[in-house]
Amino acid sequence: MDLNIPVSYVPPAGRFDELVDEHGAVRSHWESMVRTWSALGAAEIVRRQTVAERLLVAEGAGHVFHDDREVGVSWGLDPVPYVIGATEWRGIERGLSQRTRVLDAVLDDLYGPRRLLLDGVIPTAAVMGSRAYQLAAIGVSTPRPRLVLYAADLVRDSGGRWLVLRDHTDAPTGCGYALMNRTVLARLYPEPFRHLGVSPLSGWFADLRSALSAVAPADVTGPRTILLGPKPQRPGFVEASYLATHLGYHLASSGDLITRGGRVWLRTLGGLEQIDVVFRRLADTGSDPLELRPSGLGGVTGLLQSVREGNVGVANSLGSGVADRLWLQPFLADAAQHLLGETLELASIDTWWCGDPEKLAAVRADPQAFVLHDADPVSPAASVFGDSLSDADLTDWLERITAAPHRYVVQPKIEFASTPVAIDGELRSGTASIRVQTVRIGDEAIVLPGGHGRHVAPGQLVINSSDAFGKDVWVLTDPTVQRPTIAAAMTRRARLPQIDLRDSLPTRSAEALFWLGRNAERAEAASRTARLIIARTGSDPALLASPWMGHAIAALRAVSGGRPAEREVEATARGSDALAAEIAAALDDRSGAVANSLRHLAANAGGVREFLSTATWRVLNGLDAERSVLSSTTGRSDPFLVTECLDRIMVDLAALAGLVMESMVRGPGWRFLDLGRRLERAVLLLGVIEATLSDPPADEVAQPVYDLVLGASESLVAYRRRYRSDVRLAAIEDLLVHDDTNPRSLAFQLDRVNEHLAALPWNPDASKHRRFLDAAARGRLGEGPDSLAKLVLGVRGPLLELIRELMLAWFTHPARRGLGGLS
Amino acid sequence: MRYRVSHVTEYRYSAQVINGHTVAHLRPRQTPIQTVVSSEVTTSPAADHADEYLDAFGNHVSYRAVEQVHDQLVVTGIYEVDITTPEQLLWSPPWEELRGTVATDGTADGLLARMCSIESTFVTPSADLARFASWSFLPGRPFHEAVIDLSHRIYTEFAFDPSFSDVSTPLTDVLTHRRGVCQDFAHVAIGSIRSLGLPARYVSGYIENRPAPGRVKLVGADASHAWCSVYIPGWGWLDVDPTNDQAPPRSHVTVGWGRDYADVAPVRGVVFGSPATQELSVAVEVSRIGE
Repeated sequence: MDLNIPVSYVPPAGRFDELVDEHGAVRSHWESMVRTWSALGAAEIVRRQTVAERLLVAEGAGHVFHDDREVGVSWGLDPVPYVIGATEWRGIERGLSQRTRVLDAVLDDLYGPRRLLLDGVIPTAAVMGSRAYQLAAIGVSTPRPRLVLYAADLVRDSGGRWLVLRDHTDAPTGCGYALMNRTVLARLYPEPFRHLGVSPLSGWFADLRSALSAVAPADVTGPRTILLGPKPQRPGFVEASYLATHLGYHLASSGDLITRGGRVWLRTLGGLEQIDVVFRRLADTGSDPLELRPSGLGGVTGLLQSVREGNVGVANSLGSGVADRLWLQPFLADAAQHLLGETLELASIDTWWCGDPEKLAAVRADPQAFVLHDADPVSPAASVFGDSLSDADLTDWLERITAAPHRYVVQPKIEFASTPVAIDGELRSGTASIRVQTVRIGDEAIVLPGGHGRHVAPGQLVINSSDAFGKDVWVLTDPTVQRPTIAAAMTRRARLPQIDLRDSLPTRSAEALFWLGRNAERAEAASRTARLIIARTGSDPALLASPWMGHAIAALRAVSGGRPAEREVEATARGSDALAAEIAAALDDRSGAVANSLRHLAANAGGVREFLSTATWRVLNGLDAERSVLSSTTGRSDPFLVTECLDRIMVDLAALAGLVMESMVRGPGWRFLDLGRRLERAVLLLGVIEATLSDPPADEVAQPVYDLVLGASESLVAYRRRYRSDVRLAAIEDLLVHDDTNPRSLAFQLDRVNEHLAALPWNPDASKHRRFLDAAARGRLGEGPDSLAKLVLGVRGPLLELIRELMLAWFTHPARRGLGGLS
Repeated sequence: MRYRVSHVTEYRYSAQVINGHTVAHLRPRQTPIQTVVSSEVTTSPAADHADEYLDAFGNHVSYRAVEQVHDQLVVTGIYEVDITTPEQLLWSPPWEELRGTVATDGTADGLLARMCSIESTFVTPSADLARFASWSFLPGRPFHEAVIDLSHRIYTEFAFDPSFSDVSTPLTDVLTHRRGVCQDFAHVAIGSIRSLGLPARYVSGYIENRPAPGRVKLVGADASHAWCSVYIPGWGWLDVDPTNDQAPPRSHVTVGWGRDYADVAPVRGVVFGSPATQELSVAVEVSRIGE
């Protein structure tokens, strides 16, 4: 990056630029930042950008953790912040604060007296054309304010004037991203951070908590608040879970909540817990299949009914999504005047409603001059540049607009201001919008002093700017001005009673933790066995042609989800090629194999990030990097790469196990994780024993087979320390099956399972579970000539039954269906 | 005239349901010609939780939750209403003038009329519907005459055929094949009128199950019934029943109204459980119990 600003940084002529003024001089509020760049040097900035991306991933923003696709969209953060001076910001703050009140008043009116429609300020067809106008919410008395959290996308036009590009009134995203970006950038530039006086963000989040508590039913003093987010793996989940962690709320998805008796309840392991406030991160169109349209089956059935009965507060209120849509833009200024007698301080980008015949005629005459928008979009392709369309597409758009003009709006194309962005280590000028949030408390609207900047790629619609390459927004404080909101904030924020959530665990979290334990154990067992076989055959190639191979392959398949090996058959397919194929199969993405277990592990972890420490995330990120090595063919077949990768995986899995033991509170969450691990370890151990020892190995390979079994069970050292002799079958059985001091033995696993089941706070099926566990314990003591084979069968059956029953008791989510019918 | 209506909806599930939420538009509302004497909605199994409220259109809504395991649900509505003779409409403006008048009508009815002038869940205005309407909406014709003629054409040109349609049958199919049941005919009338940019709402209710002397039994008896209603600014709403060629109908019990069937479906809901299928049966009885 050439830092000889302004020589190297040349914004387009004739447009406002954030960094340099019309004479090419750096604007004063950027000077400190520019000095810092010069001091750091270009190479260092490039390096820090890499660091930034790594830190972001550690914050959980890496899409790898919530994206099932193999090639995820990786998150980027511009090392160049969006710097806004104090005076400039005061204007934005005033404008957004007003806009929050105006939009709240509009919602109050649309769901109440509907003066705007009766008096003709807003054409009825404009609002009725939006499916986000929830008729079911009209007349429902809902806690005020309706608009607790609001966000606006702001952009400067080429003259430098701020315009509102879009209002977000439904379930605005962005404040979590702002927090993530800030965490990273503050570490990247500690110096300018101090010198510039960048406004901190944390106070605003305390305000958000207060505001959410304020919408609880009137008689509730210590409200239980839950963050209703999308399912794991869905877009938005990462931000939702980040916010839940930051605000200290449980994160629930729709399946975790039910309504009974007109109240909302969280399904936890301890039973149902009543919820007083739902902070929803789901669009209201997907929040209640009973009453909100379009009626899919997602959401919490009966949520609106619970609001109607005054038993729960929902923020933002159900139905707020209607003001999220572009149809409102052309009428907002008039609505502000009509409802509040105020003139909008921050204008919307010029937007025309096609339901107006004159506007429609203008669009039809020259569609190329406009950006065309479906005002009630269902698909992302709802906005297009008129001049980017083929003739056929343009005809299609115009036909649709003419058939239902009230559902479309257009915006005359305009030029935007430029702002510095770092692209490939170069400082260039680009376009960005910023998403700024407000929270409404009583009659006030508090603006987050910062935000989430979003890049607009050249030729891209500014409204489609993506979350995927963000900018931190720095709002500079003015040392000469005492910000009144800070003093006010102290009195505004009521002290919230603490609610003990120690024993409350949403069933979805319990399920994810249980599987986290199982998948970690699977990955570990398969990695260790594969690694061991590679090492043994490497140091003793003769084994490749011996009957040992049959045992080894059988063991490997037993721990990696392969089909059971027939030892006689497999024994014929010896040699290094056959082995390489077996190893590759044990590492790939088939169920039970290493890459697959690691992928699910990542997904499980992403679903319960509020339970996991930052250090744990570093380990999980390492595992994900190693998984991507295994996902490539060379990664699975080159012995050097495989060995190196497996070593790292085993170290990371050991670190994960250690962190779980040392940094997780021994609540039900930890118990479920460990329960999953113990059950899986027992089952895999039985598999290894069955595969290798149920038919005793031929004498000439007995010793290496025993070594393999002990090694695969991580008990070789224990064995040698205890017996200091050649390995004998009876001694192996004792150490791996009956020795309850060996943390790898079957007896040890059964003891732990027993403890966990006894300690869980709530288990309606306890006696059934106990029966299966007792049966497994009895099976362990089975005797006879072919005792090992019998033992395996005697223990594994009841254990698998137990796993099935546990999942049935705690994790089944009832299916739903609509009840329709015409009479 | 006093009528007694019983409307029994029964669902049988193929597997047990853990709990079920039901929203019913069953209790009749007051209208200028209808007084509700009594109305009651019950379920079997008995609801563990119930609520009554008015929806955005002023209709009565009954919410019932059965929060115990069940494999069948019976929703029963029983009501008595008194109905007087509707006022005859003698004059209305030419239909072309209506759009402008409705656009600036600041009354609650004017707003409702505007809400019922564009597309809704089951009714999408189209050029085909506009063409169908144009045979009745001749230039300068009074609005109500055009609507009554449209209704008459549906009555004569469409065949009543319960086997043809269900609630998911698109309006275009009904128009193409010229067959369907009462709500299809109501939707065709509504869609035709809206395709000209004019307001028409959907009315849900019942008709008396008794042939008048010397006339055939009215079609649609023994089931819930539907028709349409148009807004004449300054006068009010004129009900028109294309299924029976009546405008205004004289022996209809009104439950409520909305933009189309979706707004006033008699019974709908969501159940939890894993029933693969459900069987639905409906029994409606309308009887005259007093003058």
